[in-house]
Amino acid sequence: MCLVNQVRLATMDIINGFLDKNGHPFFTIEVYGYNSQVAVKVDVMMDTGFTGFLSLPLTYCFQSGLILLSTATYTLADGSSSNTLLCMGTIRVNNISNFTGAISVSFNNPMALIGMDFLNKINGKLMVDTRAKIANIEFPKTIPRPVITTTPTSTPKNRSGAAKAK
Amino acid sequence: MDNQVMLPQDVEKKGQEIYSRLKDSLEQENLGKFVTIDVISEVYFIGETLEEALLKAKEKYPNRVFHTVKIGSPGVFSQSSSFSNNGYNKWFS
Repeated sequence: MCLVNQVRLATMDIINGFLDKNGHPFFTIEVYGYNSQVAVKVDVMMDTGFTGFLSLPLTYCFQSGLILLSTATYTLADGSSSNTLLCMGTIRVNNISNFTGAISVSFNNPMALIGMDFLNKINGKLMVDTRAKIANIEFPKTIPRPVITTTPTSTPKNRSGAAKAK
Repeated sequence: MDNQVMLPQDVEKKGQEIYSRLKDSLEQENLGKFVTIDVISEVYFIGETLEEALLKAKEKYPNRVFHTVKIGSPGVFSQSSSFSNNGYNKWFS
């Protein structure tokens, strides 16, 4: 394997998916709200016509412990508006990478959708192979940054000689 | 006072009323950004992203439900599917 591909594989991750009978790309992700231990596995359709992060059916929202934050309005393909609830939640992919965003609660659509905001957040590249009926999203691996702590060498004191409250 | 007892459609209605009053001044300087409105205090929080506006509001009022608008746009996002959430009112009325 050439060096360029080796470096690319070391720095990039891939979400593997498939095309359904209608040719729509599907991926499996995990979603959770207040705690990663209540993460729920969901098959989501990548909808490039959806500008949001994730639209999740109501029952999944409860199961995954999403935190309700706001009401909002969104627009549909025909130009009409509809209302929704927004929750803060996290999408986990490949058991490692976590991406937090505003999740829209879907009341009438049984299908979960991921949109362009998700793709932008992960800096992803969507690839669709209609011959092999597969779809992939390639994105840079998120490398946890080391936490650097510094221990103060002395505690600042005020005029009376007492230590400054932290 | 927190507003968990307010129905979502009431939060939305009040939020839209507050936004209509602020619309002109917000659109002058913050077009394309997001505004999250606390419908009880009428305090609003602006963010470059939807998450930023929501988190600012949650930090100030951790137990409230807000209304959020994308400034200058009819919706915080758009969706190509024909499924609407008009059952939302059916669920909460």
